[in-house]
Formats: sequence, C-alpha cells, structure tokens
Amino acid sequence: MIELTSVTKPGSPFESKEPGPPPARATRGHPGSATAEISRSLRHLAVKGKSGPLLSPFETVIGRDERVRILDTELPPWRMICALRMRGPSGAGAIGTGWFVGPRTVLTAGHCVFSRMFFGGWASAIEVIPGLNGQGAAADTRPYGSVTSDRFSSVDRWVDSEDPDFDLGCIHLGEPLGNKVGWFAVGALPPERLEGFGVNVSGYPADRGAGAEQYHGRNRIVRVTERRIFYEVDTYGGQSGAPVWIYEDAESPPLAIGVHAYGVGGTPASFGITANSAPRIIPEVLDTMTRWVEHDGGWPGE
Amino acid sequence: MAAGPGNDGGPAAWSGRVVDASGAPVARARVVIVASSVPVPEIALLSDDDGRFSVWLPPGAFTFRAHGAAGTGETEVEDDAPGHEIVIAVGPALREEE
Repeated sequence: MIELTSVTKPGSPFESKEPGPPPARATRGHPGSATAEISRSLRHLAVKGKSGPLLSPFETVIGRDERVRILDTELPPWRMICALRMRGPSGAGAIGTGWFVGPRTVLTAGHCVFSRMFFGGWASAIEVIPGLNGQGAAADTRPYGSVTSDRFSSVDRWVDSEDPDFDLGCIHLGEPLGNKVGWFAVGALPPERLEGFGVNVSGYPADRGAGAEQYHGRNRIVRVTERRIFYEVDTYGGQSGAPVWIYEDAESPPLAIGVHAYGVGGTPASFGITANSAPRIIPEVLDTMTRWVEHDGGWPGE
Repeated sequence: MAAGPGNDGGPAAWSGRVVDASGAPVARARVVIVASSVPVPEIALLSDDDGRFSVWLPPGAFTFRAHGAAGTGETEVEDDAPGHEIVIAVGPALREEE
C-alpha cells in the first residue's frame, strides 16, 4: 500500500503532512435538509446493482451519445453534484465538476485544483455551484446559490508528478452548503466486488448546454486496476471531477467509488478496451478524504 | 504532428485563440482536448473576452475542439506552429444544440 500525503495549496490553513486516522471502508452519505422529494430522473435513469444494461461501448463521446440531461437538479443526488468554474493565476478560466462528501468539502479531480497544463500550478479560485440547471437568471438556474473558495488540497503523487492514478483533489468551503444539498457516501470496495457493477456518472460537459446543464450517463464497469476504474459511460470535457457511483442493490443509497477524470485517451492501449476512467476510491484515498472533511469541521454527530 | 517541448524538455506555454468565420474573437467558448498522444484530463478551458486561452503542453500530439455560440471547430497542434499559437475557427456547419 502506498501512503498518500495530503498536499494543500500554500496559504490554506491546513497542515501539509498529517498523521492518518485508522482506515475506514466507507463514509456515510446524507440526503440534505432541502426537499426530500424523490427525483423522477433518478427512478428512470440510474443503473443499480450488477444487472443493469450494458450499452454499446462509447468513447469519450464518439458515435451514439447516450447522455441524458437532468432537469430536476434541485433533488438528490443531483444537487450534491456541482458545476465548477475554475480560474488560474493568469486569469484563465476552466470548467469542471465536483461533488459534496461533507458539509464543507467538495471532492473533485486533482487537475481541477492543481494543473501545470491548465493553470501552471494551483488554481486561484473556484466557484462551486450545486445543481446548476441552465444559463438563465441565477435565481432560476442556481437552486442553492454558489460559493467561491481559494482553499484546495490534493495528494503528493498528483502535485509531484500528475500521475493519472492519483488525480484527486478537494475544495474546502467556508460555509456548510452540504448540509442543505447533502453529500455522497463514499466507499472503498475491493476490485472483485466492483467488477460487473453498473455505474452512474453525472456532471457538466462543455459540449452540451455550455457546461451549465447536468448530464447523466450509465453503463457497466469493464475493468478495475489497483487504482483505476474503467467504464463505458459517455463523458466529455467539463465532466472531470464528476462522481462515479453505484447502488449496491435496488434499495441502497448512492455509493461513490471513483472520481471521473479521463476519456479514452487515458486508457492504456495495452488493455484493448475503449473506456473512460476514474481514480478509484481505495482505503488510502478514503483516509485522505476523511482528513479533508475533518479539517473542514467533520460530519455532524461524528 | 507533435507539440514541441519547452526549453527544459517539459511543458511549453501555448497561447490560443477562438475565432469565428470572419476572424472575430469568440468569447466564453469552451475548449477541450479531444484527442492526444498522452493522457489528458477531461477539463474544459474557457476563452476570455478576446477569445484567448492558454495551456502548457507536454511533448505530444493534440486535437483541440472549441464550442461557442457561433458553432464548433477543431484544430490540431503542430510542432512548428509559429509562436506556439493555437487558432480554432468555429463555424455553423457543426453548430451544437444549445
């Protein structure tokens, strides 16, 4: 097992090296205090368990596009998913996706907070917009408003070498917006338990709705490696950082198992598959994420 | 066609522009690397009010696609691109549904 060390953007009030708590296998999710109405999109679109459909293999987005727009983004779990508006030190802008894992903590891809390619290093500021639903007036399209942060964390293996296996990042918020919109349960499942599951990926792609509309895709996991999950779910630029989640059975709550980060170009040719991929939630990732949440005040009642 | 490395062999700074058929800048276009010879994350860059964006590219080949109000366009980065500049012309032929 490789020990991951949290690396925090200089100037953030977090230690750069922290002792880890005992390993955990899953964190508990929360649906949020806002309306508990059940999402119709969820009933019709989400794939659950291992018996879900195996759709035609998709590349990043090549060929038939099976993504479906989510219209009821004010409901869980869609409202836990956030459009991100990143800005680098030069003023350069970018868009991505993140998702709540605690009241004040948003998990995303490492390259959304630190990227030599896109920002020349750390991002300067990120606006987090839960459940963004279109380009109209803010009152109509931002059901939970937005919050901007300049405090981010990633892991040393990403900041040092930008290894795709460690493409994980975190946005620390100053206000507990997660209490209202809820947060995902996050689980570190062994590879043998993941294979064959249907997975859900939902985020804010740049080619549909100008990155202001949430799109969901689903399909089956096709390969699991030590640190990555590969799946045939349609995605596109802007969906980096989106949650990859499963339902262990028809009655289970959503359980996030990865952070979407790469299209087909990120899949080794030696695998002989056409798939998109995410760094897996493995025990050391879960431990690191738990420390990020605890630094943000932790989960209520724990 | 490959992007050239920086002086130290690492990523090189490139500037980009998104323009329409008349050459006018396209602001707030979303720019995505849709094909490359190295793994590239699925992030989308945004052009500024002058249609400009910037990126630091490692050695390799890259295809950029831009989505803007005027449509969609693609360009491939060549290692002899003058001044490390990427120009993406968007047009109505590939206009996206928005």
